[in-house]
Formats: sequence, structure tokens, C-alpha cells
Amino acid sequence: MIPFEFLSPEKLSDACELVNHRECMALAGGTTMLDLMKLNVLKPQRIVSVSPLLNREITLETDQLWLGAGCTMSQVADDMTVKRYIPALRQSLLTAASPQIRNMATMGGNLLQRTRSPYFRHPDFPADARVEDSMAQSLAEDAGPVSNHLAMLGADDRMVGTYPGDFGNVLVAFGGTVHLTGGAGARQVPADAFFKLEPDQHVYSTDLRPGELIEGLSIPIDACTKSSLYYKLRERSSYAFALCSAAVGLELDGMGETADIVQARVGLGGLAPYPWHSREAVEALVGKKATDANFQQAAEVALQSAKPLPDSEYRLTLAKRILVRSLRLLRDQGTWADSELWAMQHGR
Amino acid sequence: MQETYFQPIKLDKPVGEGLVRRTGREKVTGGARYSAEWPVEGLLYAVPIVSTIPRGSVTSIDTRAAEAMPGVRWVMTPDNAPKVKQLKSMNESNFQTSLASSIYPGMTKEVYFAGQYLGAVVADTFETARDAALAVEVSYQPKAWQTDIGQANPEERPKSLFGAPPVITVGNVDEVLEECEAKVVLDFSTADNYHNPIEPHAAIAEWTEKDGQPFLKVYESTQSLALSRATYAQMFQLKPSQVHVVCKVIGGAFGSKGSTWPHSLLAIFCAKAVQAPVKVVVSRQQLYGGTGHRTPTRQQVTLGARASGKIRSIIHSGYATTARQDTYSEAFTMATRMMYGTEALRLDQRQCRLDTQCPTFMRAPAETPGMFALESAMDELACQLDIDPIELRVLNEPEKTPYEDKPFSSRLLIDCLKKGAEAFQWARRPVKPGISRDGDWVLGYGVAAATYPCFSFPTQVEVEVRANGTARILCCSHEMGTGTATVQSQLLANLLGITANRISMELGDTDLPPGGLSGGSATTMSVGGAVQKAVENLKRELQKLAPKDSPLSKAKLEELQFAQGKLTVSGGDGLLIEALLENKNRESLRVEGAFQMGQDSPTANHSYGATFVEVGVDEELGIVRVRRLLGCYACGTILNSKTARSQFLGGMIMGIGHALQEATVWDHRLGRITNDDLAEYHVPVNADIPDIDIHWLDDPDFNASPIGAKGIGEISITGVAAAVANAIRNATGKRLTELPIRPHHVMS
Repeated sequence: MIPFEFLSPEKLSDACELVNHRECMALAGGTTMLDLMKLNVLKPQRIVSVSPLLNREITLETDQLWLGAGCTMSQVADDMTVKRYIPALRQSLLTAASPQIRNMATMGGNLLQRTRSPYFRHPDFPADARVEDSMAQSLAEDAGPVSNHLAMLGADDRMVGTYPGDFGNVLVAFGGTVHLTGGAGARQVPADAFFKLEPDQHVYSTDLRPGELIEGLSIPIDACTKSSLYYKLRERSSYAFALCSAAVGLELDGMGETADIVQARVGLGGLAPYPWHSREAVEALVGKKATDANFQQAAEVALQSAKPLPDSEYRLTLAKRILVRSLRLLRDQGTWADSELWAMQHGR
Repeated sequence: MQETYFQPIKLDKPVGEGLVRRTGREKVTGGARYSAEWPVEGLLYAVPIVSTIPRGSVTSIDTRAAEAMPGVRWVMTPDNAPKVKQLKSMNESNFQTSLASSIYPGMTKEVYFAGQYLGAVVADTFETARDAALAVEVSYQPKAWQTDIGQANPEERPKSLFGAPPVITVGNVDEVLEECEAKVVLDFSTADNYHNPIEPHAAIAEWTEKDGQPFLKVYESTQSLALSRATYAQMFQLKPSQVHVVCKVIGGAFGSKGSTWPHSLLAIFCAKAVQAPVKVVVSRQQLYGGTGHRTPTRQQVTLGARASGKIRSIIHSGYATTARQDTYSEAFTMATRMMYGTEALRLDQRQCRLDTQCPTFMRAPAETPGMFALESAMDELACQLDIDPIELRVLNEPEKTPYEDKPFSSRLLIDCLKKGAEAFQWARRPVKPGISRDGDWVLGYGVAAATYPCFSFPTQVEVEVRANGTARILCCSHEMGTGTATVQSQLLANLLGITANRISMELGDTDLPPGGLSGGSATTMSVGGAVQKAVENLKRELQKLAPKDSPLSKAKLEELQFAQGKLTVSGGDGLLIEALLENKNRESLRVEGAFQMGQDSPTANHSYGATFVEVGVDEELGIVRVRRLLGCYACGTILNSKTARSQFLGGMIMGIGHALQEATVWDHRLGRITNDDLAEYHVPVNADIPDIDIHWLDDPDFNASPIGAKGIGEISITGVAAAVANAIRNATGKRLTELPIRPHHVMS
């Protein structure tokens, strides 16, 4: 590990003044950052311990759910308000990582998980493997996937790793807001505007400025959050990144396929360089009947711009299928009870 | 008259009891001392400089920045590496050395695979060494490479497959096949797997002087201590007494610690150069390209049978990979030599050379990929003929092996299948695909046979009995988590007629009598055979201590028996061992015992078993989850029911990984592995594993083993992948032939 200085300021405002997210970085749960430091990907010279300074509250006031940035994933997953008002959020946390990691990782840090791109995670790979834009074309058709975690949405023909988180997909799908502190003062940024992929970059960047830290996250609670579901598809039953995932919410008027879709929420995970909010799918659903055909149509629209790399087309198919299945589940039986979530993951 | 090859011994308690494994508590409470954890004064740390390209040559190594770092003691490169005698590798010397590779670390500028050790940095701390290793700049002249088995040229014939030729022919397979009413031809591919033990590979080396001579001490995680010592002695032209190698516990090996990988040599070379003890620990990333792997394979199995299901012709062919410079030949057709009766048999193996590190043994190396192919083909034949797959195996049970024409030491495959079928409620198997459903899951049952050969290695032990009523076994064997000390104590307790808690065993140190390599599921029988020999010798030596004119001293050797801690005449009158020692005022008595299996075994010596799996398949999403798992094995005597169960469980769980998860993902454009961590190289997690039901037939095999016990460490992985694939076939109608089975294979 490259030597670094460890700082423990007493106030959050002091911490904000120190961090620039480059050579001076904030450390909360450390579950991503220490991993990447060991891989020599992140090489901060100074680390600012912010865990003791971060807000750890979970509140529900005037239909706004507030999650302090310092809440652990476990704390939020186990919170009764979260479970009742936005089950998709609980499900996204319970199907992420492992209990040990969830006990350490904070919500603010969770949102900032770095890409799973092998080119990002291997600084010892030849430099042109990471930066050359034509790499995608140089992949042999029959050589097999070079990674299960390269983006097909929003990647603009670049070989970009996927965003590996789960919670972030829920946050963007349900219109969440990122609350920032420090710098010139408090700022609020819509979650789906918080992430971006710059034209010349191969890793997403965020609207987090030097001197700022995430203070908390908020999500408006409505009929869609109450009828919400997070479906994560992964190769093993636990502790695996998503091949693809869907964060969905539905407000229906009526029953079954004759119901009208009043409101809908759609987020996708495991497919894009950052949490993916599918406004196209939402538009395709709202005002329509909740029929299988309309769900299928929404899935087609959601994945219309997808450009899978060779041997990854199956993930595109899977993404459509879990989106349709998630919407049908919500329509026909509502969100999962914990036991159903368990059964979905374990297959027994 | 004796009907078995070995004289049967009486097997009684505590043999078979489920005694808790010694070192179990130390391991789970952090008390066990692993190889990287020995406190050594003045210890320095070495971190390897590894190649980042798969093939080429090093044009320059710039070490200036590294050397300038405070705390850096030495940077080893091919320019300043010590001269060391070149030895052949383990595979090429037929187990005369322990070396995994003939490419020594830091000795050559030629690059043969990514991850090759080009040198090392030695520093005061691990952190400094790592930092400095990152600061070393290596320039390469790359050459064309091939890391993809699918693109390689597989025309080379292996020299030998465990002593057998690469092509074996019995009868005329093609002619017989022409006449067959039923025919199955399937192509299979299996992925490369990495052992990923949780204990990292590690070595600490220290050079000192003893009696005016150089003396090398090495702590290393190894399954072959005695051979390591012999190898280091040869390499540095030392007497074996000038080399001491220690490994008290191992935290997972699975074959990856069976031979000496370059990190151990690096520690030794660096320690010699800097004249201080040096530690090397292989990181998780360095394991990929650092400590071996299971080769990928491409296989084809052809079965020809009568309409009744009686097999007449078997062809099993294909190729595995080996390295550019080093050779390891995976004998994946080996089990097909003897699994089923057939008129005609053809086994045909080839290999290709890839620019990867040399493959090596990984839990049931030959059988794990080979039985996946053979047992999947058997299932497909059963499907085609609409015969129950168990019945198909009953129909094709051979009396002798088709290849060697030898009778079996013991078989019991059909017994395992039938006992397993009853416990699994096999009769409830869905009669055709798609009819048994649970929500989005379609259910299916699968069965496959398991097998593993009975290997042993020459082994010596000493058994000491003491006047305080205790005894101990001394043997340079290994504690891999299998329970060697526990089960051997049980065996000796049984042979002496005392309780196991009065017996201890010392192992893991080359100062002890040399044990064999702990691989090939050979340890229990090899050490046990030597313990049994020692007990025979103990009778003779104790008799000499008996009072003159006593019935004991007059008895013939063959009349002497141990019973309840006494040496007796035919189980009658006798004296306690302690009393015999006291009689001559002896504190203790130590005897030797040695075991080596003869070359002339008149029987084919193997273990057999049956694996049953129930899967749920979500066809729309391509997801497979194992719902139930049952194994029933016949491995001779089971010495300890608890440790045996754990071994069987471990193998079956690893089999789930082999079937559904384990694979490296390559970017062949770079010749590099992209998922070199435990987050993306999937092995089963607890949530993947349902209740597992383990059964066995406790039937001693005195044809194969002097103690009636055969190895159990590997057999249980061998049937799992086929049983899973067969269960998916039963659930969905799809025959999947590529491992691991992933969503894109399964999706409708």
C-alpha cells in the first residue's frame, strides 16, 4: 500500500474542507476504497475519516424518506419504515454484498461504488486496453465475454465497466435526491443527474465537487414506492454482482391486466456505467393498461439503445425478461415478502 | 487361507467414531500457526515483480526508483540473480523433485505467461516491498501468444497419462459402433479452474549455519514436505540433514500446494542473497499465474449400445492444455478405462500448449472433468433408450476392467446407486421434462457415478509407546484440514486396544520420518499402512521386554495380539504395555514402520460412489439452483465418521462450483485473466448449498489397502457436475455440455 496520512477531523465542515476526492479522499465504511487501494487503483496521499461525523438518521417527514449518509446498509435494510414504505430499497440492500460488508458499508459510500471494469481494476493491464476506444471492435466474436461486467447501456461504444451497486438503481428510479454539504454551502442534486460519463472517460464521474461530502439521501414516498420491487439476477445465490437487475414501482387503478397504470418507476442495474433510470420505460407504461404486452413493450423501449458486446447479448435478453417479470409480479401479487425474496435467490 | 491381497485386520472402536478433529479448535479460534505466521527474528519481506504480458522477452528492468526507497534491501532481477542448479520439474522428473516448473523465479528474461516472477524486491516491511515492486519498470518485446484453448493447435500427444499411453484401444470401436442400435455422441468443454485456498501460499526461508555447514530452514504451505526437502537439498547440493522444512497446518490446498511454486524458491533465493530470513506471501491476484490451475478441456464421448442398453463401444477423446515450457498432462480419460463393461474401447488424448502457467492437480484432477463427460453421455444414452439411468449402469456393470483385464479390489457402485436412490427417493423423479414445477422453477433429478483411484505413497512412521500409558505417532505427513492426526490416532488406538485420547501424532516437519505427498487422497492409507507395520514391529520389540519364562516371551510372533492395551498371546493372558516397559525400567519404546504398495497388485483398486442432485431451473432467466444433494460412497473402512463426512461435503460443494460457477474470464487480446478475485471468480457461498445428505458403505477393502481404508478426499467432487447437468436435462430436456453451466446456456 502506498503510504498515506490518516486524518480524523472533529467536525464535518472540517472534513469537507480537507477532501478533494483525489489525493485527499474521504473514508467511511471503506469496503470499496480499501479494496481499490490494495489494487493500486486509488492512491490517495491523505485519508479523512468521516464515519464518526456523518448523519446516521432515518426519518420519514412529509412524505420524504431521509437516509443519513453514515447509515450502514444493514441499518437501512432493517429499518421498519423503509420496509413498509419502499420495499424495493430494502430488497436492493439485502441482495447486495454480504452481511459483513453491509454492516460496515455506509449509504453515502454505497452510492459511490466504483465500476467493476477489469480495465479500471487492473492498473497493470496495458494502458491501451483501458483507453483505446476501438477496443470493443477488436473483440473476437467467439472468444467469450472478456468480463461479465461491461456496460451495454450508455457506454457510447466504449468498453466501460458497469456500476456494481444495487441501492443506486432504486435511488434514481424513484426520483431520489443527493444532499451535499460543504463547499459553497448545501446543494441538492437529483440522483439521476448526479452521475455522468464524460466523453473521454471510461469510469463514471459524479457531481461531487472538491470540498463537498454527501450528507444524506432522500426519496419521495408515494404509491409507487409502496408497491415496489427490486429483482436482482446473479449467478450465485448471494455475494455476486448483478448480471442485470430491475428496480420497479407501479401505481395501478384496477386489477390485473385491465388495470390502468397511473404511475410507474423503472431503474436498471448491471447494464450501464452508472445507475440507470429508464424514463423511456416509464413513459411507455404510464396511461396504459397493465397488460403483459405493454410490459413487454416497455422492456423493449427500455433496452432499445443497448449495445451489448459480443457474447453478452444474453444479458440484454435477461434484462428485458426481469423487467417484465418484475412488473407482472407487482401487478399480480405485489412485492415480495422476505420469505419470497429468499426463495427467489435460493431457488428453494 | 487369506482371500485378500492384504491380511485383514480387525477394525473396531474407536475406528469409525466421529471424534472431533484435532487442530479444529485451534483453526477456528486463530490459534493454529500457518506458514506465513511463524515469528522469525530479523525477518525481511519479498514481493515478486510479475510479468504483465503473456509471452515475450524483457528488454529492460529499471530498478532505480525501487532501490532508492528507504527500507529496500535488494532488488533481484535476472541480471543479478544467483546461479542455482537447474532441476527438472515434478512432472518431468516423475516425482523426483517437487518443482511445479523448471522456470525459476527471477532467473530468465524470457516471458512464458502473465504472472511469471521476473524478480523481487526485498525490504524491511511488506508495505515497502510492495511499493517498491510497483515502482520497478519493466519493458518488454512481446511475441505472439495464445491463451485460448479454443484457438490452439491440439495435435501433440502426451508422453504418458499416469503411466498409461495416450491412446488405448481394445477391440475395434468403429466396427462395433456400426452395429449398435443406439448411439450417443457428445462434445464437452470444461473451464480452467483456480484452487483459491483461503490460506494464501506462503514461504519463509532462512539460511544459517549448523555444525559449520550451511543450513536452510523453510516454513512453507505445502502438501509435500519430504519432497520439498529433497528438492532444496539437490538444488543447493546439500545433504538432506542440512535442510529443514516445516508446515504444521494448511488452510486449504486442493492440489495447489502439492508442488513447489516459485514463491518458495523466491524466498529461498532472496534469503540467501541478503543473508537474512525472507517471507513471501502470494496475494489473491498473484495466485492466478502463480500457483497453478485446473486445465480447461475439450472432450468427446461416443457410446454405442444395444437397444437393451448394453454398451458395446466406448470412445473418449479430446485434449487438455499444458504450458509452453512445462508439461502437465491431464488424464481425463482415465476413469473411462474401467467404469463400464464394453466390447470395444478407444481412449485418445491430445494436448495443446498455451502461454499460461503450467496447469496442475486440482481436486480429482483426471476424474473431475472426465467423469463429467462420461456420466453425461451415460445419462443421455439412458434418455435416448428411455431406461432409468441407474438401471443402465446396473446393465453395464463390468466383471473386470476392460483395459487391464483385472478384477476389482472392491466395486459396490451398484450398491451405492441403490442405497442412494432409496434415501433420495429417486422413484419420485419426474418422468419427463417440464412436468414438475414450483412457481417459476422447473424441477429435475439427476444421478451420476463417482470414482477415484486408490493411490498411495511410500511412507515411514515411528510409533512410540510410553510407560505412562500413552503413545504417539511420528510422521512427516500433513494436516490439510482432513484430520490426519485424529484418524491415525484412532487407527493406532484400535490396533493397541486403548482409547484414542491416549495417542498423539506429530506431523508437518521434515525432522520426522518421511511421509509421502499428501495428494491423490493417499494419506490415510499410506500413513495407516505404515502405522500398522509399526504395530507389528512393536509386538516383536515388546515381547523382548516380557519376563523370561512368561507365556508372552515363549509365544510365537504370530500368536501375539494387542487387546485392551495389553500384549497378549492369542487374545488371552498378557501384560499391559506400560507393565512391559516398567519390567525393563524403560520410559518408552520406539519402533519404525514402513509402507510401500507393491507394483504387483492383482486387482484394479478404486473407490466408487453415486451422486444425486435435485435442481430448480428458472428457464426464462437461465438460473439453476441446487435444491438437494446426496452422495453415497464406498471407500472401504471409514476411520472417522465426522471428518469423513466433512471431506465428502467439501468435495460435493466444490463440485457445485465446478458445475455452475468456477471459471476464469480471459481477455485473450491481453492474455490476461479479468476476474482474478473472489468477488468475480465465483465459488459457492453458503446460500448456494442446500442440506447435503451423505451416506457410505463401510466395507473394508483389504485388496487395495492394508488397513481396509481408501482415500476419501477427492471422490465426492467427481460425480457432481454430471449429476447437475443430468438433473437439468431431466428438468428442461436440455443437454448441457459446457462447464460451468451459466445462464446463457440454460435460458430458453
